[in-house]
Amino acid sequence: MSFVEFRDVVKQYGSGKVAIKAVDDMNFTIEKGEFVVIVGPSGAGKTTALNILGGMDKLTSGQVLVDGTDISKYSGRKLTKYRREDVGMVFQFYNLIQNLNALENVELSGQLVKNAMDAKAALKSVGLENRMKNFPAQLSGGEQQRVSIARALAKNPKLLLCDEPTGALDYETGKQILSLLEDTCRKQKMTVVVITHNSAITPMADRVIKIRNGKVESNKRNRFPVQVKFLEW
Amino acid sequence: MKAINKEFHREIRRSFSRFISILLIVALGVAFYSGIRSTEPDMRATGDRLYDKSNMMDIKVVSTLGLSDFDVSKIEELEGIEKVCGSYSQDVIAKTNGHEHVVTFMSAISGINDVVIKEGRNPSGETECIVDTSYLKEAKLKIGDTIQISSGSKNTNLKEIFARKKFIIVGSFTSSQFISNTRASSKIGNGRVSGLAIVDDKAFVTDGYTEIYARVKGVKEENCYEKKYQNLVNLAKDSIETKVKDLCIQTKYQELYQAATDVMDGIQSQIDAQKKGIKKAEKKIQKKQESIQELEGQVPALDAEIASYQTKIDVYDKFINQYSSMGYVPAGNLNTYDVPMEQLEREKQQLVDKQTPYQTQKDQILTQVETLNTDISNLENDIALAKDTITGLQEELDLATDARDEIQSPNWTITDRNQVSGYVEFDQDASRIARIATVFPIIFFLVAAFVSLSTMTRMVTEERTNIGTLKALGYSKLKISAKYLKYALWATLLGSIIGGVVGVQCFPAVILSAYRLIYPGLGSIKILWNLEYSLVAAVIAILVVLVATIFATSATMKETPAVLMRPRSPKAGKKILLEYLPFVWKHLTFQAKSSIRNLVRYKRRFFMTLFGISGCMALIIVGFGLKDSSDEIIANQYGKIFLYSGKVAINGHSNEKRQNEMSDFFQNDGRIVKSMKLAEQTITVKSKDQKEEALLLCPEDADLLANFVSLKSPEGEGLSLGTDGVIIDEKFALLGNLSVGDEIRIACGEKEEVSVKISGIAHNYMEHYVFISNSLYQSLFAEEPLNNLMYFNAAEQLSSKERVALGEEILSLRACQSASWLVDEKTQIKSVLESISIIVIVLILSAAGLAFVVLYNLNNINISERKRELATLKVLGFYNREVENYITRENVQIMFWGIASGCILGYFLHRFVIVRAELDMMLFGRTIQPLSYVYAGLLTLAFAILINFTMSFRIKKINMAESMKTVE
Repeated sequence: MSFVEFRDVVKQYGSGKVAIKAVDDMNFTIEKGEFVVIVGPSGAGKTTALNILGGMDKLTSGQVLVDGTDISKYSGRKLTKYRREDVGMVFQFYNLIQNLNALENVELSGQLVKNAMDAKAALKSVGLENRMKNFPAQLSGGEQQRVSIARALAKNPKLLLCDEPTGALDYETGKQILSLLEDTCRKQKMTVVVITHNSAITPMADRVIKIRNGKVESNKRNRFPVQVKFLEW
Repeated sequence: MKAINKEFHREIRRSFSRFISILLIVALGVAFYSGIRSTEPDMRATGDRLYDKSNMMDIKVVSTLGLSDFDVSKIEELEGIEKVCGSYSQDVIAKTNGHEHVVTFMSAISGINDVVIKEGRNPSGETECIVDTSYLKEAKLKIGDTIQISSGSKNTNLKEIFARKKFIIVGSFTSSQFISNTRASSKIGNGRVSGLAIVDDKAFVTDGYTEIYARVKGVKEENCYEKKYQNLVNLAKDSIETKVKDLCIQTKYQELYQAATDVMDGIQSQIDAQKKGIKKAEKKIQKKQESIQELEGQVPALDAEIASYQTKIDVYDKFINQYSSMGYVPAGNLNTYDVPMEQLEREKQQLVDKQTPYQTQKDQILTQVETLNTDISNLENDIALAKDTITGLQEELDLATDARDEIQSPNWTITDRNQVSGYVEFDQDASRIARIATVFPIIFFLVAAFVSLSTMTRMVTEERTNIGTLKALGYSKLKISAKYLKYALWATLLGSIIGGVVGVQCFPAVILSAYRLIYPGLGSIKILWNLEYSLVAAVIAILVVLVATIFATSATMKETPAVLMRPRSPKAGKKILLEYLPFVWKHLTFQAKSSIRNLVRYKRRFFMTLFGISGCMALIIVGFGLKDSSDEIIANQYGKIFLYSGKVAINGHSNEKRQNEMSDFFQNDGRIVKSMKLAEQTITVKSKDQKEEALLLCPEDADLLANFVSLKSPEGEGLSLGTDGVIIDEKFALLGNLSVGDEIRIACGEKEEVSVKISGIAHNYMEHYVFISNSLYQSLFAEEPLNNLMYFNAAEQLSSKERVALGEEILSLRACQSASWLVDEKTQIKSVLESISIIVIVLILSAAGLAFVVLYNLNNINISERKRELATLKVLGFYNREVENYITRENVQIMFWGIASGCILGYFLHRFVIVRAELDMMLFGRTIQPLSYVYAGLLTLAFAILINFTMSFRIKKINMAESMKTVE
């Protein structure tokens, strides 16, 4: 039984002649604890698929099974619960609450669940124990992204979904972030899904899903993932 | 069309709701300003139209002794006069269906004071009448009912005035003479006129007209509330005064004098006739006495004859009696032989026969004498009677002579519309609106400025990248900002036009319709196109919005294209001051911390929302406060300052007997607890900067005054009337910037102006008063004050029936001219102040509309600006309710501060408005009831809750995926 299963998922905007299918009959599976990289050119439908998986958007038809439950049938409130307890999101542009400092940003998400990770510990695990009282405006891009990751991790979610997490960062910092995600995946046995259009990092993944024009082009398992610190691009 | 212009037009269509929101707020502001400002001239125009249409009189002449056709014709001859009419009127007690009211009956005249027949038809003949519609309603009458009238006063006999005493109602009417609900006072009944009735002039049988109405030439073209009209009317009044009055008065006086003289002559001739009669009788008596004498003179001779015969007869009788048994008289007694009885009888009879004619003659004479004597005594009776009659006639003559001596030249009073009830009140109401109108629109314009500023700022922010792109392409700053300026200008222009047109037509219509409730006789409303106000408002609105837009765009325009094209960095969060107080900060909940930080961070939004709520709260407080202030007047003036139950106008010139009769009544009647006389006079009071009309009151006994009037300083200290100065009312002191110890000048009637010190300033609301002690009065004016007023306190709680009964009894006293009750005065003032309620409601509703628009707008912008933040929360898994609370918590804090500051703002604003809305003779209460603050707070809270409710829908709609979109 796969951990995540996309079955004939379609996301359509508009109707009739003007219909645009962002996700066109997508099918794939993800196992628990995998580090998954979803690649594809711009406009392929990666983000849309991730949004559906993260409970941020509703599909037009099809099924999405997460740990056995079909979330496509969920009502608004159930979906929120799903996002609250089972999903951690990391975005390209961090989306931290500007008015809260790093610690508070993490506490914000931790407060939502019962078995949250201690906020300070979460920040420590991303290496920011000295920057806890700083506001996002006082943090560099990489530090902000790390706070974002800590925020996502604080909830102890089932899934960690990252939409172009290194898109706004330079090469070195980006590598660091990916390394962090890799650690989280291995050490905490968390299922991590990363969207990117940079195919150079696919070697680090357990599974690579290639998406083109809203469809899954290929879904290959990587027998021997390479640690990201060894990758160059 | 150029592409950039195409973009502009599409933008309007795309962000239509934004365009509309600026348009609406401008329209609202302009409508409000121009609408309220133009209400004043519209009110005056409506009044003027009514009066022109109904040919309302311009001048009214009343004489103390009635008016005649001669007077009418003399006035008609004057050049400035267009039409003249004489009219009859009389106050009567009208009994209908068991109710009694005081009704003024008037004769129907045409061409002046026309009435509008609402139901039925005009009256004709001696028994028909029509009544005014409010009386019809009040007395629950309908067409066909009858009215029975009585005079209501011992001194008036209705038979001399009316042909009949029963009238049948054939119709109802409204008259421009009585447009408001307040009515004139009356000398009969309960002292107040309840209704009007018009009858055919055949129903009146008096000789003289009660009044003459005249219309002045050329005044209809002017508005009757303006100076030009008054000047024309004054000219006409003067010409009546100088050219006609004296002649007519003289003529009348001559008439009356002549009539009196005729009466006297009549009596005199009667006296003369009687005297003649007496003389005749005396002559007759004399003649008769002469006859008697003459006749009686004859008697002795006759007596002698009768006696002589009688002697002889007696002899015979003697013999007859002596010798009747014998039948003859023996010889030797009478004759030498025996004389038979028959002979004796025969001879005796001969003697008797000879005697009888003398006897008869004598008897005749005696009878004649008796008759003559009877005649004489009759004549003497006649004379006595005649003398009595003469005495009576002489008394009459004396009275007639006195009466003629007492004839005074009649006095003419020439008045104009300023004495017509409703006319002046309406004008004052118009002025009051104007005063209030100047204040409030300012608030609306400020709000318009804020709303347009925030809206345009939002717009510019949203289009940041577009602006950057255009700049990068090479368009100039001016060209780019032109779009926003045009956008704002178009919205403002359209809004001004709509607002200006709608405002100038709608607001006056609404306000005047409301005034119709107080002035039922007002007639059709006239609304002018006072577009000058709209223009002023439009110009201000355009300036305001343009400045706001320039302000919104200037900051953005300055930046480089690259910066603009990057997404705007969100405002940096930082430590706020409160965090430096760890002992406070630690104890705050997480949510509290975040919302406080948010408030500090978005300062501009905080202040704008604060101002919006504060302004709304303040306006509502002013509304309720106005009501409180006018209620305070009524509650305090009539009951706490004026303590008397009623007051009576006394004829100060009535004779001692009548004065005593009155004093006894007031002292002894069980229903009256206390009474006191005063001298009351209307005077002019002057200070350095101020001149006002006031009532001078001089109580008979200054110590008793406290039972009837409570004189206290504004701080609450009691004041007493002494000899060192006068006590004036608070408002006058305020107007003239006076304090205790200052001097004022008093001009009383025709007496010389005097200076006097202010010894006290009394808390008072309505009218100006000057209280003076008896001794001070005498020392100032060198004469004793003439007591022409009496205050009295009635025993607790008389029912209104008892009041009417007591009032009638008071009025029946010859020395009393009119009586009024404090409760009636109170009711009257209440209805005057009712017009304030209308203004209050308009204010509160406008405040409500305003608050709603502002808060809705601000909340929308708030959510738009923070979409990403809110979407993040949603993504994190916050439930919708939790996300709402995130925003609500901040709003609650703003609301708290808003209501608190609104209370303070409202307090001062209320004070400001009151001072402007007051008329010179009035002091509004300055206190706002605590309950008003509570109501205002509750209302403001209700709006805020309503808006929060709408906000939750918007939050639900935030699309997470859209809002979090990465900028690729």
